[in-house]
Amino acid sequence: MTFSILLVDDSMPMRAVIKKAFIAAGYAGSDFSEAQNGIEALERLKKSWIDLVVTDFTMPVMNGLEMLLKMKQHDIFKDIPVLVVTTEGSQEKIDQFMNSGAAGYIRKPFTPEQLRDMITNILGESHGNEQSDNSDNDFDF
Amino acid sequence: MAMNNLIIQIMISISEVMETMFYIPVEPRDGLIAFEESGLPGPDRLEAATITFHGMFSGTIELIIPSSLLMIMTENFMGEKRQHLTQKHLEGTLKETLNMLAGNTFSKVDSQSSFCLGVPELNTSAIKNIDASREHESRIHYTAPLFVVDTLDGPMGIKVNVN
Repeated sequence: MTFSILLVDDSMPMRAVIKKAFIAAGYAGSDFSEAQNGIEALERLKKSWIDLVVTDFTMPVMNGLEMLLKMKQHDIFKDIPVLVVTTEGSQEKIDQFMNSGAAGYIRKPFTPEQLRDMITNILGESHGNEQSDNSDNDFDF
Repeated sequence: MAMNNLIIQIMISISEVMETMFYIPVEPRDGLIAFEESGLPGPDRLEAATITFHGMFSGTIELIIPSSLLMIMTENFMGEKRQHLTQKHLEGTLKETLNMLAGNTFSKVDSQSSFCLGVPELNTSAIKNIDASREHESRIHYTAPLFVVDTLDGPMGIKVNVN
């Protein structure tokens, strides 16, 4: 099964590393999109269906938590699982993410195996259905 | 006391980051090392970035890496051959390394309190600017003692400033 995955991180090397981990985890056939911050990610979500959003926390323009909260206010995007991959060390910030509806988080540095396990867990549990086709839906905020 | 603990956690974190993300083992040296004894090359062959932190105490962490080692790290990190790498890849890797180092460090210093990290900033303009006065500044800057960790591909320097 292939997925449409949106990678949100202002670090281009980190987006490449996460994509590489997805491919190593068996998601090579998936469609990957990229955004450098929350605003770009929300714009990308409006264009076509995304099955999973993987986001950093600290980003310029709009951070990962603000993006997650925007998604949770949206009729369609609220059900898209969001995985947080972050350097954030504070448990308080992690709790904020999880209490806001994130599907999971991984702290950097991470091993490919840790990321693979989390991806499999989320896509298996949170998106066991076939890929959705919401092309007729209104994606505007 | 806080400074000592911070340094210990930085050294543990740099090992974790380098080994987990770059597959490069490191060996920290004890205490501050004079720049001339660090084994680091001259400023024109160094890349550096700084991150600020604010919390129970505030300050900066600066990471200084020889260009040749940064190239190896970026190759390992991205899984790309060096001929496919650009300056942007190298700079992104340097900033992300410092970001991971700082985030990991402060999760160990105190995971319950909120340390706010800034966005890593490159110091390359201070190092690489060929303008004579700037070069002089950078040479002064890079003669100060620093913490050093060794790798098989050369040393890395870390400077910590607590306000």
